[in-house]
Amino acid sequence: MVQFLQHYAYARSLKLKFRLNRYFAPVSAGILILVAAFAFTNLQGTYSGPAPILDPNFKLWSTNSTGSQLSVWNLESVKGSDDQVSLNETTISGRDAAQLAILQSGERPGWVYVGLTQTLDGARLSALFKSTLGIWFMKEPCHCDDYPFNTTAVTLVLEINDGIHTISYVFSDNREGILPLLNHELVFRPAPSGVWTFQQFNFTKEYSDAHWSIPTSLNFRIIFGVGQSSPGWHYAYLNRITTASNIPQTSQSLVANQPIIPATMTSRDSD
Amino acid sequence: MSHLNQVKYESFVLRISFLFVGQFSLYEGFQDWNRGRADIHPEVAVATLLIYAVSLFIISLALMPDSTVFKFKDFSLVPLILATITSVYVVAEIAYNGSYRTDVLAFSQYAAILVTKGLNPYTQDLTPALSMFAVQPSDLTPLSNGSFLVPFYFQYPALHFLVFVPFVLLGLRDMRWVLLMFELATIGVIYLKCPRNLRPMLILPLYAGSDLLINFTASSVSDMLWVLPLVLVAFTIDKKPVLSGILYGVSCAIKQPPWVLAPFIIIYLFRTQVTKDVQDKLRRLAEFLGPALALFLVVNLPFAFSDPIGWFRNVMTPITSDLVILSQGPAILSQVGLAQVGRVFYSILAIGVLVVLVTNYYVYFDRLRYILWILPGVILWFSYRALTNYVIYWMPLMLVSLILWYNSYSIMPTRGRSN
Repeated sequence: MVQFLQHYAYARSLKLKFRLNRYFAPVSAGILILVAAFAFTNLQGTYSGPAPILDPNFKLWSTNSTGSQLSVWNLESVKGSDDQVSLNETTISGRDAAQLAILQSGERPGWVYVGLTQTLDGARLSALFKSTLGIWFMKEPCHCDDYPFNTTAVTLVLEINDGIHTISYVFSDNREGILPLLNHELVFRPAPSGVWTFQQFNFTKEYSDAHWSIPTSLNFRIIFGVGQSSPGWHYAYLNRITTASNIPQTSQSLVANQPIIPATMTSRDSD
Repeated sequence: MSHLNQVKYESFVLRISFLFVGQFSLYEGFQDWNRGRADIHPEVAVATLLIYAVSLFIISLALMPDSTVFKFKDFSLVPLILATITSVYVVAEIAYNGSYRTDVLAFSQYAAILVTKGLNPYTQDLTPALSMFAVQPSDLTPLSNGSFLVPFYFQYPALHFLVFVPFVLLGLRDMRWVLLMFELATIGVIYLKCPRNLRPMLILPLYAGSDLLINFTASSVSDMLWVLPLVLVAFTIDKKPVLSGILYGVSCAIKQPPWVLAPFIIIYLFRTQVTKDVQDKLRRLAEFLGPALALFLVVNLPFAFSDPIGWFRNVMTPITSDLVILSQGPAILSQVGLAQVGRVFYSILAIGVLVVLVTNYYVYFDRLRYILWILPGVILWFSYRALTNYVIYWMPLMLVSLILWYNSYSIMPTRGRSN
């Protein structure tokens, strides 16, 4: 009897093992598919895509023979032999910043420019047009309200250029409005000087209002320029660029609750 | 199969492999001629000439008499290794002008330099390595918000930089030559451990494309460092579990991918029919895992001692940080906008696949025994950062497994083969 029971138990365990072997793979795969489907359904909308702007906090610094530079931003400049431009890492009014500095010698007719640029295409460009972009910056008085390119102007400009169309957001002293040119819009945004200021941009709306089609690639620039009649050192500071899913507004301006420094900035924090 | 038929079959296989090797080497020779700027790099001209010569020779060999074919059966290695070394040189030193194309090798070499100066790389900012080795910004991995994990700390186990310390002390400037040494050693081990009649044929999958052994190495992908010890693990796991455990500890102390193998190796050791006694099985398991863990700790503890949480956080960064989705796996659907699920979904998927594969490997061990070496590649393919190097570097391990399968197959009785 005992022997029979042992044989019976052995046969039954073999049968169970056979059943387990037969059904384990499809059952486990089925459970995996169910779990994946449940997760897929419940996690819809969690993908935010790549950020449009790389190194939006201006934190990735490297050093080479010409000095410090931001690794993923291209530095562009236009200057004469006596003019100087520089890019430095600094802290001002309690915030880390990238400092754009220009020494306008006044010797050469024309402007001195220094700019940070990134080229956007593909998923990063799509993300830019799906979001509202904001920037924290600190600037000097612009002196550009009558005419943006007068020789005393000190302008900080955020510009997007798709190869055909250009929108230049000029951070002015008081002037507000749009100056349309051929395939080029100058958008004046009043911004206080000497304090950290936050401004937001909705490029989709700007393109839609101008009846321009969404481009396939775009040059994103932050340009600092000083006219010939403003000799000496001038500075602009960039703290960070933010992106948020689209907010239906064209602009918003915030001023940080920071101590106001003299409007004409002469501090040379990291030189 | 009669002896005559077997000779004929082996001769045919050898001839096919000669043709493959000749054609592949000609292809690489042409690529080197194209990208090597022979007009200003005469050494490339000489190397290209040599590659073409040996390639044409081995192609001609393919239709020589059997006696000649068998006499030159190991000649396949000559054009392959010559093409590999030349191509790595041309891509790394001429096409990339000596710059590294991954941050990992730049950080590792810089970490090795820091160690020679008595500094702990896990507590130092490694950012200077980017300019020191001319790493392009496009080769850095951003977080999903576009920023970077600055300051950069070392994110891999300690052996990943310790392996370079002797070469830093010797004054070697470009550590891709160390990667190439590991690569050639891997090929050598597989070739020597392979049954003689399969030798030239067996290494051909490694050359089915230029990425694994040429382009990735020249681009500074460092995975070959952990592949070599893992190949030795596979060859020793059945008969020398202690040595195998030490080698597995070495592999895990270099980079994280071999960690994914752990549950499969445990099942392999537990289910392999060396003994049926559970206590013996557990002892065998301990003989493997004990040395593996000890080696891992010995290598890493000196660096983790001052800041164990910081060390752990750094080493887990590739797994836990919110890196941007970049994938040649299912996550590509999100990357191109066809799915709207983020990294959490793909992490759940990868963990789910891990659980399913581990349990199925246990249940169907008799059938799946030799497949374990590719399973980490399958799991990582489902993750949100499924890059090709997470998948193709398991190929040398699959070749080892094929050798082990072949060896076990040839000693099994004709009936009752389950593998």
